[in-house]
Amino acid sequence: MALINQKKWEDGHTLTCKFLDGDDFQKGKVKEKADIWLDHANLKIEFVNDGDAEIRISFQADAGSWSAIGNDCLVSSYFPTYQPTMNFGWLRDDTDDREYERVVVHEFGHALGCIHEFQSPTENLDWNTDAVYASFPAHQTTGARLISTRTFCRSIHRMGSARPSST
Amino acid sequence: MNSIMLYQFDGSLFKDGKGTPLNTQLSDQHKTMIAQMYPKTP
Repeated sequence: MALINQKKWEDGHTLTCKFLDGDDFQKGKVKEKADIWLDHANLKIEFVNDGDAEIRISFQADAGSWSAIGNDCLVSSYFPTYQPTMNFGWLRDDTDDREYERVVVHEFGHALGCIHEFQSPTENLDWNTDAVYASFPAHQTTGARLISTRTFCRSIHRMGSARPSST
Repeated sequence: MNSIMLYQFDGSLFKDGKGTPLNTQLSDQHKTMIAQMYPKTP
């Protein structure tokens, strides 16, 4: 697991969270699964209904599931204060519990400062680079060929959609 | 690699053809690591 030091929260920090949309079922599931990290870290989460919040959660910003990395959510040029810092694009009332857990724990991992394993400086995934390039549309790989394969592989957010292919 | 922070990648993208698993839970190793990053008793 890799965590970006500059994006960490102060130890003991209370993260304020607010839902920008979503129904009671969705909100309840996210609260339950976010707590899985908090059982092990010296951080707290406080869900607020009004006012400012550091982590602003939507279920309908777009089709993806994503989050700001750690305290990046405070940078208003990245995340204007009226916009979400975390989105769950496919978690719905009929989504099963295991999928809620997988996605919410992953996104809250980002909110605590964790990056993807394949972006870690110590990752040792042995990419088949030709296959990786081939998985992108041609116009996206023309420029990428000019940079190092490893850098390119670490920047492949788009290819690694967190959405499972089977559900 | 058992990590909630790793996407499930198809085996065809790797030289060994094995791919990465679908991880659905926080591993014991990650629980230990996050406890080191945000220690309860500094």
